Amino acid sequence: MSSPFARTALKAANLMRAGAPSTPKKGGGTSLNGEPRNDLIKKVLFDAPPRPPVRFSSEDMTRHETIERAWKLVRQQQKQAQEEGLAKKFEMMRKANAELEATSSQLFKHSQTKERHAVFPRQLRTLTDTPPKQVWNYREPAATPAPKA
Amino acid sequence: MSFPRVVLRAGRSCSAMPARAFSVKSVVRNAAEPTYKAPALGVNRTFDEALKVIAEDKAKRLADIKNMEATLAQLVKAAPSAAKETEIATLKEKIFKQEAYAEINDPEIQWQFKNNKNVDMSKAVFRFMKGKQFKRETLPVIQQRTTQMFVTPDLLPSFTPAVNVQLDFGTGSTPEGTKIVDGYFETGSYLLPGKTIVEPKVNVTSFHPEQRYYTVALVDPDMPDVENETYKQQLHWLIANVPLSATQTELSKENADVVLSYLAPHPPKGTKYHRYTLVLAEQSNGGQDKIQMDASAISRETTLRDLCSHFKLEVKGLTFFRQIWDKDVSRIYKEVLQQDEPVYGNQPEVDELLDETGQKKKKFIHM
Repeated sequence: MSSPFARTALKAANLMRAGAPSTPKKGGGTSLNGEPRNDLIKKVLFDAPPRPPVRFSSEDMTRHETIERAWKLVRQQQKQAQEEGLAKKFEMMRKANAELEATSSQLFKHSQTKERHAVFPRQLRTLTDTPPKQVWNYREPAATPAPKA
Repeated sequence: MSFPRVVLRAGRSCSAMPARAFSVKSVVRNAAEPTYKAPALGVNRTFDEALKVIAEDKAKRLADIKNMEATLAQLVKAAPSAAKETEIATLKEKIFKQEAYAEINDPEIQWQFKNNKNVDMSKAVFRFMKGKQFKRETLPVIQQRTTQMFVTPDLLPSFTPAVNVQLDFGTGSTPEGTKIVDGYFETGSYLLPGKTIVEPKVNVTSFHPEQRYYTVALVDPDMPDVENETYKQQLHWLIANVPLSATQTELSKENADVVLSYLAPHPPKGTKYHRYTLVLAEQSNGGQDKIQMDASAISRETTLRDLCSHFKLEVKGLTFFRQIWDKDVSRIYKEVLQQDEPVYGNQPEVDELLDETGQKKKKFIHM
């Protein structure tokens, strides 16, 4: 794993597996009904040695800073490309709308407005946990016949 | 064995997470290398790729600069209009920024700037970096000291300095324990009167590549004016037509016109601390005009506001130091000014409850 917390998590898991009873209890009375959980938590937090800080030489420091800068550049370029793509799409949409407006004002108005009082189809069948007794009526024909091409 | 692994992991975790989640400490702190040593290639593959990314970005920006310069040349040739000047200005700004961003990611440039070696102010990238550093580090201190000690409402209307001025009176000019940054004292520091008898070296960091003419003035706004029961300003030093640019940073009297020669600061005994303010004002027409200051019109009593309004000066830089009376000031009065030393004090306290004879004032009168 590339997470910097991997080492601590591993150590914590090892300590938990080893179990509590080997070390003396801290501050007594923390284990309720013989439960060693708090002792385990304290062991993981305070007994596990802290990770040493990463020490870089000046050469490595330069490399680290250069890498950080280059990564920032890459993200900047990605964001720029995304913004440009979006801008192009928006421009094409705007041109299409302008053309529609010039073509037909009624169609344009219809395209720009939304049905304000639109509601879900009330003819919808209520959803149930189990299927109905009659799944499909094969005798009567379908409500809307297919349109002839 | 674990060291290179740690380095590689650092690289990968950089790419996985947006923010730094671990501390990186540099081991070698004291060893300052004399020249830049490029980090070896082939040790860290991410670093090699990073260099490629930076080089590509630089090439793109340089190409962009070429296009912008072509449009700028066309704009300059085009017919003059109201919007033309602003367009040219914005385009020049863009070109400057692109020139700076093209080279700012270069590790050699970063090293040079950090260690202050071969910082060539004619390059846009160094001007950009110095400008940012000034805004981030020096400017807040100047602003805070100037407002706290009321230099700006007293001498000038409040403004944002665009130029960094620093004074050097030599070693020992500040009392022990004064904070010294980069060899210069912090704005607002106390200086010893004995060490300011000789004029200082004025170091100006201006961020424009072209040469502009400035006026330099050292003002003391805290000289007591007994007749009017207030304070008056005294001009200690006035130099006009000082040529300064990003590469020309020192004030030299040979190229400029000294209107009022340097007068040693002499805060009289009994007054509170004096704020000796050095002001750098850009001359009219974007610093291109030269000024003729006739000595008859200017005296040491001229206020700074009058000076600026008369000669159409725009104050761009400011620094000040404080001084309080010292035994050396008596020496200055005797040797340099050849005057009797004035001693100031408060008016005698008048007890309102006593009359002229010293008896208690009568509250009631016999009718």
